[in-house]
Amino acid sequence: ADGVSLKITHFLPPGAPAQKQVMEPWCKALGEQSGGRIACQFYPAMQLGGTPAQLVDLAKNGVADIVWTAPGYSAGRFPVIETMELPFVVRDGLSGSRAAWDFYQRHAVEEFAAYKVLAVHVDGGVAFHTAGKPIAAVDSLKGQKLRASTRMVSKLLTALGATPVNMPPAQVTEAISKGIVDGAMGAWEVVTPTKLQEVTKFHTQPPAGQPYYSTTVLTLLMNKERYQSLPADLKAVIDRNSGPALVESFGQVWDRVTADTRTLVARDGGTIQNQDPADYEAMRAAAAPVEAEWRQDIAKRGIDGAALVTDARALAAR
Amino acid sequence: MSGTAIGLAGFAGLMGMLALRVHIGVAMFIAGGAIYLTIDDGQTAALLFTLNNLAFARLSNYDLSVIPLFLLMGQFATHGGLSKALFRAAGALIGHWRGGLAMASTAACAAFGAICGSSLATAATMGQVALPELQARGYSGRLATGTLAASGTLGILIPPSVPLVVYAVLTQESIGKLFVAAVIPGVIAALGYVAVIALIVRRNPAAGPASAPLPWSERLRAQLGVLPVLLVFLVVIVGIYDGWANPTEAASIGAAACGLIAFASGGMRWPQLVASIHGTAQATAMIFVVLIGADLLNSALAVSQMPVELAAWVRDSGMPPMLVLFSIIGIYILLGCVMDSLAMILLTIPIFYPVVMGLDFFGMDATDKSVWFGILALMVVEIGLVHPPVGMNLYVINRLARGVPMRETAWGVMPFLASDLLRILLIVFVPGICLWLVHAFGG
Amino acid sequence: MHEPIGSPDFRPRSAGERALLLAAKGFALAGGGIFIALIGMSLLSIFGRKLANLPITGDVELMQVGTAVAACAFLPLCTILGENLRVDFFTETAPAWMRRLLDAVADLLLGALALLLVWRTGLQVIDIREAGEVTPLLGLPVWMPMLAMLPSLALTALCALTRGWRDLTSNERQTAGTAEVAR
Ligand code: NA
Ligand code: NA
Repeated sequence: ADGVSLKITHFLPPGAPAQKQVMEPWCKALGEQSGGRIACQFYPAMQLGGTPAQLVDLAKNGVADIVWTAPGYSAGRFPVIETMELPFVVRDGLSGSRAAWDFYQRHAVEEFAAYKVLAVHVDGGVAFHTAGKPIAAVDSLKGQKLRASTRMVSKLLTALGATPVNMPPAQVTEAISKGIVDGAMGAWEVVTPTKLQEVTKFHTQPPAGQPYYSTTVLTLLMNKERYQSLPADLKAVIDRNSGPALVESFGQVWDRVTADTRTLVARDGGTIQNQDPADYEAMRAAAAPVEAEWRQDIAKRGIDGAALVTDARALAAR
Repeated sequence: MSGTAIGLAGFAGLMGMLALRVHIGVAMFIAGGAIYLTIDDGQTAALLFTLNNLAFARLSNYDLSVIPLFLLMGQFATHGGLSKALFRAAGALIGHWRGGLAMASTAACAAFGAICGSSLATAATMGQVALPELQARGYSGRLATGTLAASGTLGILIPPSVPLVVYAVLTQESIGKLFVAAVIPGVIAALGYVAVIALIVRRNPAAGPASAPLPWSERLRAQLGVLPVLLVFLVVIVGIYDGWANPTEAASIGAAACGLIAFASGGMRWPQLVASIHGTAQATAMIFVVLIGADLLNSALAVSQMPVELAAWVRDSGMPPMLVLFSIIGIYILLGCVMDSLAMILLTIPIFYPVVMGLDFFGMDATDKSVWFGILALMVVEIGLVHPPVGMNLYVINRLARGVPMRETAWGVMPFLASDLLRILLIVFVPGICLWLVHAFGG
Repeated sequence: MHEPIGSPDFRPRSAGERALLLAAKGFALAGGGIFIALIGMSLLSIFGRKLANLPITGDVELMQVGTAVAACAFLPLCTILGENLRVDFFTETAPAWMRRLLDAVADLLLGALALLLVWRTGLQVIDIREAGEVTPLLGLPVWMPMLAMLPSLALTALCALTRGWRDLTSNERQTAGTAEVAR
């Protein structure tokens, strides 16, 4: 008899694919399979207050029932899952998301122990989007100022001799059009919502089938007490629709949006270039210090980073 | 009760507390807290945990750091004596016209507004410099105080502008776009005030007698004092729009430059530095206290869904968009009778913004509409600074003008108020006035 | 936009109150010092980025945490001088005793709110410290700037409660500046 209304919050506008194409259909399925006893109320664009870094706390403390967020926004709190964001691990949305979920189950359950984890997935991988000249060999990055979407991307750009610049997503397009930065490093799906294709004409991605330069791990987290307070049949409905099933749907939507974006960029006269394999390998070698430094950092917590990276790459290569 | 009913009740309670002299930030905080405690049978835990992050989340906002920096810049300019140089330069050029010194005051306010983000600071600073001169040259108290009270608002009408920064933060709009959009309307405002002065002295030449012209050499020499200010404005505004600094960095450059100019001119020593910091501290704190309260109220209103439902209701009611817009402008002018301009923006934008964005105006896209409404909101809250009974600028200027009754100042500002209303109509019907420069800059 | 121009309307009546005013001024100066340092950092970063492609790593996060700490240090001075924004319009003609009573209530509420924030922000310091959250690029522990906000919030509470208590206990009508009347 008693229906539950789940408060869901995230940092993107209400029209974002994550809400429109994944979470809303997910909620619809929960509603149908629970006989209308589960409903969702969305609070997009941080409407419940705070900053994106604090989304994890909103779910932990029950201010929201469910949050969709990047654990990386709260730097230092989820060090293990960050493995998936290391350079040259993830290949695309679907395979990367499957890998991220398996990796979470094998290695990162502990750091998310405060939550009921509904999904762990990745974006499709970050590419180079530049205004003036295409990114090709490592040399072409020298002196380039690029907006970095995450801290891993910042470190990568520094290692490659470029200058990372941090700014909110809403400012990127304007900053590029005015030459404050030369371009951005970011996932394909952010291109059209921020109209990046209007100011960047060159897009460089890895050779076909090769792992991306980096990615962003994303999670759908539920308040644990809230989940446990639900009757068994509703828990079962949520369980049935979450985990691998939901991860699959996130991955598929991301790949679809990525493909659509590439089509649109090409139609608007943008040049999409798969990096030359030799340039790509050289870039990979130049980026090695990022991983080494990350391994040192995580070793301070008594964690064997090398084993984690090896397993992450193995999972992502399946 | 439905969420919307709770939201509306919270709003009514807020108005009651405001009437009873509760600090605006505190009243918003309590109203927000009360909404949390009533909705869905009480969200006590949600409220408490929202509070955990409230202070840090609000105060660590990168865009908001612009506010203390611009305030500090204005304080340096004030205490460093830049205002005198500006007034002298404008007075040397046009002081010998009939009403010329009043027009020069307007021009100096506009120039000062170009490096100061606050209206009161502009009114107080330029009032101190210009009022004694105007009175010494036989200007009527009514014209002198009316001119300065109105022209003080150029402090926010001409960028940089603190209310625009707050609007930008609330609506996630670009500060740069809003500033560039404000330039032409700000210049129109200054020209409108000059025209008003010309009309007044035409009807009543005794109100603003002409003074003897200065030799050209002296007129030109006086312009040198303007150069540093012009330079700072160009660096800050062009820096933001044209390429190499974000608003926070531009504000840093502006503050450093004003501090250095003031120091070089001998106007900035330890006591002035302390005064500048104390002035910045008070102005920043009074804004941020309201911001903290507004933050809690806004998330409470979001939980109640009241703004969304209100916007949907207005959209579905079939009211003509222009009628809705003029109702909003009317509400602003009424609120301006009793409320502070910045608090008005903080209080109303979360409710009015979704309403306006849900309506169609001249087929504008979302960005254009949001920039245009930002400029309109700025202009209507600006009016609240000068119209009786509670126009802050009136009090500031009146207190500086010895022997001018408040009644004279209030009457003196009326013709300027008329030009404000005309300008608002102009911008309502010709949004291109604010958008043209934005598009020209490729934004 | 309002900026205080009135003369301070807090005349200390005891050594304790004098110390409070002095502390509030000192906090404000410290906050101003932080902002001036942030201006310097910002200039170094922008010229470094422009001229040598060498921006200051983490300039954005330094500005963020610096603003939080410094702006918080501004709160006590504004509070003790009674400069917080309010609406006076509806009570302008009310008898002085009633206005004093209302002002006392308002300041006590502000004090309570500041104490509430001390408590909740303090809990957050503990939580964030345990969670090990750091700033993205510099790895600066986030609980540190949060902790640095607590003295300012506590002093703000003390300033507000002192004003409220004065209004409750004093018979003389405090002369509010013109600026305050208009707010
Ligand atoms: Na200004
Ligand atoms: Na007013």
